[in-house]
Amino acid sequence: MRILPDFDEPPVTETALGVQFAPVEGWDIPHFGLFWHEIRSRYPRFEVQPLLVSEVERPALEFKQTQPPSVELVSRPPVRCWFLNESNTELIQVQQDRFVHNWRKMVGSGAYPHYEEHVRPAFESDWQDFRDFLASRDLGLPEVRQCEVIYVNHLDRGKGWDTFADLPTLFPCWAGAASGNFLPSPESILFNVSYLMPESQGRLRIALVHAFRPVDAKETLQLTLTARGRPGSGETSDILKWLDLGREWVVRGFTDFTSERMHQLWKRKM
Amino acid sequence: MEEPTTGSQLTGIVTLSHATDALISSLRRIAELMLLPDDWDSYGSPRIQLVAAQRAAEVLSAAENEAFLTPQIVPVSGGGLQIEWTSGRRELEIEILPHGDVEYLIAEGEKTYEAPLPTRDISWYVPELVRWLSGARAYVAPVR
Repeated sequence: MRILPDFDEPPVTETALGVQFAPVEGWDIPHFGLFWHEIRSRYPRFEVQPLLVSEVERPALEFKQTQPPSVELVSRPPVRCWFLNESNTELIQVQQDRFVHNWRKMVGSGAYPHYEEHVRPAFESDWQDFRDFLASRDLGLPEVRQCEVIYVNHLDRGKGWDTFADLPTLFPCWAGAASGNFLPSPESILFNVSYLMPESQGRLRIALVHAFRPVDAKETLQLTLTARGRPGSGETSDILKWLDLGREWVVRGFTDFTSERMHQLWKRKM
Repeated sequence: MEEPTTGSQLTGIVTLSHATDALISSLRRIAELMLLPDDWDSYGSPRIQLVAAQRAAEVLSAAENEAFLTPQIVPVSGGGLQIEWTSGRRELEIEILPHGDVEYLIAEGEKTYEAPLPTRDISWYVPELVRWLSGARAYVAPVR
């Protein structure tokens, strides 16, 4: 494994490692409960959520026309289940065509537990449990279409920035320059950037949004990095290999995208 | 609201990138009030409770599309918050109690009416109240 930039106090608040697959034939409502029975000792709580919509990355950007509303005639349970641990810091999300393992920071919870030490092994163990469950119920193995790695970072106001005039000191790509002197400093910001990974390995998307976090009443900049791509096969080893690649793009992308001044604030180690 | 496509975004946020100036300044005001220490009123009041701040953000977000004025937001003894709008002879006060329950008061001249506002009704009833305040509605129906 390559050495990647590392921080003692990274601003990450959520991570997600996920797999999208073809809808599992035969999956239905009772399977949520049966699977929960298998993992309940680690994930004693559950919540029912609406489906995540499938979004598979293509090698080249497509320009889509807005489609009129349509009715989907595919029969599938229109639900996703969250299975949460006791402290609500980790959860598994399951639906007929998706499996995601999340870590999230809660008020008063510990620091980010790091990818190699916890996030990756936790995903691997839970994904294996899911595969074993599908096999034990004669539902077959998932036909994997895409993997995704998501890191959500919160850059709170007062920690490195106070106004949007400070943006150039956070993000080197934002020069804050203008051709003239008409425009004042921005009052808010929203932007999306995407980067193709070489050899059709996938795409990295970076999104920045100005936000208020009600859970602790803080104003923040939410910087989300999402890497998606197709693994070599549906084998767990290939999925993990792609997740490692996606995570490398997320970490290197985050480091490139943010300034050295902020790296110092987050106590960069290497 | 867009349908979710990613497996993330578990931490609830209020997006400000398309927010009105009134919403941004109101949420900043809440963030400032959250810094008040215990005994901020010198009568022993606890600091503003987190659940009250969360509920206030919910009320302000619900009001955003209708609100034409920046409200006054003041701390309330006990750890709550009060959001106040005034327009001509009409006044609207929404009080967030320290444990997150909500009450409202509307006044026009000498006439006043106050009632609890069930939290499940915030998203539809707060815009109704603000529409009444702006004069877009002659009266406001009692909460369900």
